Amino acid sequence: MTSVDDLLRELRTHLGVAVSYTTRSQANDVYEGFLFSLVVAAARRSGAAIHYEDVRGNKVHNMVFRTSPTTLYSRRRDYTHAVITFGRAPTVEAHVGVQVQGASGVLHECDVVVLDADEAALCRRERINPRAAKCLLAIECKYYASDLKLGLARGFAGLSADLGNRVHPLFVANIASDSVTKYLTGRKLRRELNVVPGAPEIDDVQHLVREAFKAHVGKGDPSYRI
Amino acid sequence: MDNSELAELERGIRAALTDFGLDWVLADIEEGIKAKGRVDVVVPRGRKAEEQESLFAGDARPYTVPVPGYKGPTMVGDVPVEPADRVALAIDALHRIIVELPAIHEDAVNRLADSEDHDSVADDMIFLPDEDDSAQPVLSVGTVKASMGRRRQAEEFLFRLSDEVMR
Repeated sequence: MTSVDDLLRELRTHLGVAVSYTTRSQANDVYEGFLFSLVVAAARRSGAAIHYEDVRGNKVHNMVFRTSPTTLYSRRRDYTHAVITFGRAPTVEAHVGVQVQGASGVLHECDVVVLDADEAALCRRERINPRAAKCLLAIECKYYASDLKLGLARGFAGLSADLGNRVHPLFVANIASDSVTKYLTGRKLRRELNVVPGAPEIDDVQHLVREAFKAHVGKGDPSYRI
Repeated sequence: MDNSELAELERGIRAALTDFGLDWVLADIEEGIKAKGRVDVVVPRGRKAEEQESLFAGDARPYTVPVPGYKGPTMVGDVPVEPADRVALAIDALHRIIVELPAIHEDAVNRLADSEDHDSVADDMIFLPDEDDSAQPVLSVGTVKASMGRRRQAEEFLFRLSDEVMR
């Protein structure tokens, strides 16, 4: 058996070279990027045409995302979004970390959001924030090293109420929490926990994303099979 | 490991996390320990209840945890978390930041690259702050992939650490 001192010495060696993410913000950034990739993959599997653009409309292949939520129209960086088209249905865009105006008029930070491309273009042109009524999917992403605080679920409940059900609000986290599950289930709010690579919950997330796309396509191009 | 060794190990893990600037992980571990201690317990009744001064008196209260299928009233009690469970929570958290998070980053980029349509292929995913023009890209998947060997070694160590705790 190795002594506690030796184990701790070895732990310090590994912490010194193997940890790439030193702040909670970095961990959440990566998790938001992961959920963005699940949205894009769900759209691709549903037959959408997809490409990526920066805020100036240039086609790009390197994803540049925000480290903290800001305006969709910000031009200080060439932030990237996905442009997604299903048949003849109105084109939509998927963004990471942008502000969205809720029914109350208050701005909310949405980790991953899919909205009408016309609304996004209007926001870039007029330097305004998108309205929740023009969004079809909003995902709240939480990455925690251990337990999820109940307050996160409470915050999501408030966010969902102000964004409205049209945005298919979805709470996603990398770990499970009994209290968060109980709270969100009791309020009939969508949630998927334990969402990490290789977990079956990935399929559940993509199913919910697909439902949001189906609702959009059903109105815009009912003949399109999704 | 006996309880004194486990306590020493927990103190050492906490100190290491602080020294490496990973206080947010430490905060999450604290929350995890609190949550693990909050369990549904049987509401004491009759003579058993009379023997107890207060439902919330003392840390080491001998709560009764309901058996599966129990239909009676329950309340949330704060039970002490065993030293081995506390250390296990800390090791889980270490696994998440050293192994799981880079795997999530790689998975995201691989997923975005997995297309036959050139337009919908993404090569990398980087994160930049909006408010600081001089900031350099952080968290490129290239740096994550480059550290894969070191991560594997760290993962093997964490498995060994878990084994040592269980002995």
